Amino acid sequence: MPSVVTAVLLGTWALIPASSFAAYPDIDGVGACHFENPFARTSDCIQYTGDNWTASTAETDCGTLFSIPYASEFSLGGICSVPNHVADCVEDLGTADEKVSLNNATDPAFCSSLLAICNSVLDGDYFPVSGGICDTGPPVPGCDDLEPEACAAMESNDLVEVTLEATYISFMPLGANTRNTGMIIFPGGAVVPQAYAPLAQELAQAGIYTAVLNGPDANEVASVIGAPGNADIAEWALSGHSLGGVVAVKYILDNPGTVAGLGLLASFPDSVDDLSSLDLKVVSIFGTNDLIATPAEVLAAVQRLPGDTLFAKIRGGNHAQFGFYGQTPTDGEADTSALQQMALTAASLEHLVNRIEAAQATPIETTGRLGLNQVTVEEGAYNDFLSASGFGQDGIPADNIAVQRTAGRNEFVESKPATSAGSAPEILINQFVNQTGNATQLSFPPIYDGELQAKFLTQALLNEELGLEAQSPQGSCADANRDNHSRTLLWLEEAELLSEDDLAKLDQWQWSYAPDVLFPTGPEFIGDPESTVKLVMDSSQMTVSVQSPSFYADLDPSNGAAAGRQYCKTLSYERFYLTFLDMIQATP
Amino acid sequence: MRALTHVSSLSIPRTIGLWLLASCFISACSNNSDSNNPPQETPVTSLEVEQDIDWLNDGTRDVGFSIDAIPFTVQSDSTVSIDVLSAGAFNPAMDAQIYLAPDDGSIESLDLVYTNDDGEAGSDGSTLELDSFLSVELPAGNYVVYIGACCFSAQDALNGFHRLAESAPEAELTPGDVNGRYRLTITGDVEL
Repeated sequence: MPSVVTAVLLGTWALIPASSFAAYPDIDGVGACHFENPFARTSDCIQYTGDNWTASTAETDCGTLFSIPYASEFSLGGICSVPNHVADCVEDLGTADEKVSLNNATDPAFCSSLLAICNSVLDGDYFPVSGGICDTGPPVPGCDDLEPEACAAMESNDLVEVTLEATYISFMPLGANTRNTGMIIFPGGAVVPQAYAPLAQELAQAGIYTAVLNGPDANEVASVIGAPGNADIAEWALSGHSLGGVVAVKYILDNPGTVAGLGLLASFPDSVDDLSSLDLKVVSIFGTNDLIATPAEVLAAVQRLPGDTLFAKIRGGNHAQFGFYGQTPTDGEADTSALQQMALTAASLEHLVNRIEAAQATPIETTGRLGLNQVTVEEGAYNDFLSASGFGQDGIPADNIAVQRTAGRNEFVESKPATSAGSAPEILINQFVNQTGNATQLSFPPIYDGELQAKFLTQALLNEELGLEAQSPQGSCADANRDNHSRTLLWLEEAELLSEDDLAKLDQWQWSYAPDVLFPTGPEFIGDPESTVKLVMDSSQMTVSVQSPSFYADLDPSNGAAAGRQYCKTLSYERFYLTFLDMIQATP
Repeated sequence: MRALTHVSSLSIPRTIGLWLLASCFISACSNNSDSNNPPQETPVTSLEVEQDIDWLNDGTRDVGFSIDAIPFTVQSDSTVSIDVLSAGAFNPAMDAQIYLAPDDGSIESLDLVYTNDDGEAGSDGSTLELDSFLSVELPAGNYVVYIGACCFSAQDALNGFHRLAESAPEAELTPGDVNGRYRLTITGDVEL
């Protein structure tokens, strides 16, 4: 019996028992259950074929298939007959508990999902009717049958090689920045795999090998992981849309330790499945306008997910726009574009990969160089560094991890126009992406948890060296920015995210800090290393004052200035990271 | 589970929160020790309202959810915090959003409107930052907190309804669904 959760996620159809027994010949048994499938709105049937079934137990089963109203009729000694018999799913094959669901469908697009439900949800054996519409495998539609975006994304390009394998579509990154974590996407029920090609392209262009299964069939995961070309991929993450997410969860529970991460796209674990105790990175992505897997339903599963699960919401997103296959009649109307929803989904899944790879990273030692002037310090010599760099002299840099993290979040929260007086514009950014610092360039650069770990460790050591108690940050924005600058350099170096050459280039720049700056959203730096960089704030925007005419900076002031409010803003660690990368690129 | 109810946008009074309060949990307690409270000289009251946001679907027209309006009075110029507990705490839960506006029946014409979608976790037991939070300085007067599931507009708040889709006979909203339960805590020199 399918769970209601699974059935609901299927959209307009669910488990589909079907018509005479051409596929699976054992048709005797205690009786048949004809019922009106409340999700598919078809007349379906189950045959109770195992010896353990009695008239009583079979009739009870027949009357309790779903937890919402539906019509059923148990026929003692009866034989199933349904109109469009395409396949059978046999549960407990060959045992005394055996029962057979007759699958009923008219659209071949459903076949892969029928197979997936049987194998992965019902744990049954699947028998397509010979010569029927499900006897030839899932269809491979041509471009005329696809959404234009899906068709375009099926083409190989300079960055991604697309190949059709027997059970999946492969999106192989061709660039130099290939990640060591791969992603396997489970399509939603009755959705062609090509519908996820734009998402797979986006991930692959970010260096993440991505495979889209032909259908939400857990049995095909092994064919991806075991492919010879994927031998170098150290870790795998699964992501599943709708029914695909339900099936991905079941795969993870059935194959513990096989994958390191899970992305749920408008999906949630079946009511009997619990991931909360697993060492698994999870992101649950949902659209606020989804009427098929509603936000309430997504949030209801929080107790069955690991405690550090991230929830990423897409404002105005709906159910169907997680793929490119058109609108579903029962869905909510999207209030954002499909491309925007796809981009945010890709960013969220990329963040998941970042978390997975950060968890694998070697613990970071907190000795080494600190700060702007590249003062090399030995362990225990932080006070010398502080004296040399000016770090901490004007303010007290000591704050514990929680305060520091909270300060970073508040910076964003306060700068959100939505919290300002006078207007309430929409913000089409996932909050957690903002919290990790990369608000406008969602997919680059990666923000590793390891960087934060380094920051925290460094701060803890500084506190210890200075004998300071944890307390809130004091001093000016300039103090905080100088501190953040110094600490960012430290953990970028120690996390080996900047090379010696990179650091040498940064050495050529000079920095000073204005008292107040606005939170920037989109920097573009062009400059030369002879410039003196000064962060200043005027009445409406953040600017960079330089002494070299070749330097130019464009920082979008709209976040803070739109509401006519000014804040004392510190630049986040991540913002410095972005700035450093821009400066390195601009340095000969 | 309650049956789906047709409530047109026009039929929902802006004070829907009041007539729903009959089935709500309301309490008031003095001298809350929360660190976000206003200075000591300001009287502090913590008001709690616990109720549901409902799915609305008449089967032929709009599908969406209700928006509650919770009126309250600020007794003196002071800091008022509005904290929502829902995601991760209730089942069903919702990803809440709130608007705060003076109680004069119009949001657009006001010069003081606050809204928050994702706020700070923790002060009221929230574990997810999907819960909303506001802490603002308010002049004495009458105000309304509008609360619903993300993401609705100011006009939706006035209408008491956020439309998500044109209703279709096969709409699969689970019959009788509650979209989400929430607990709203208003702290400051306030009274309902």
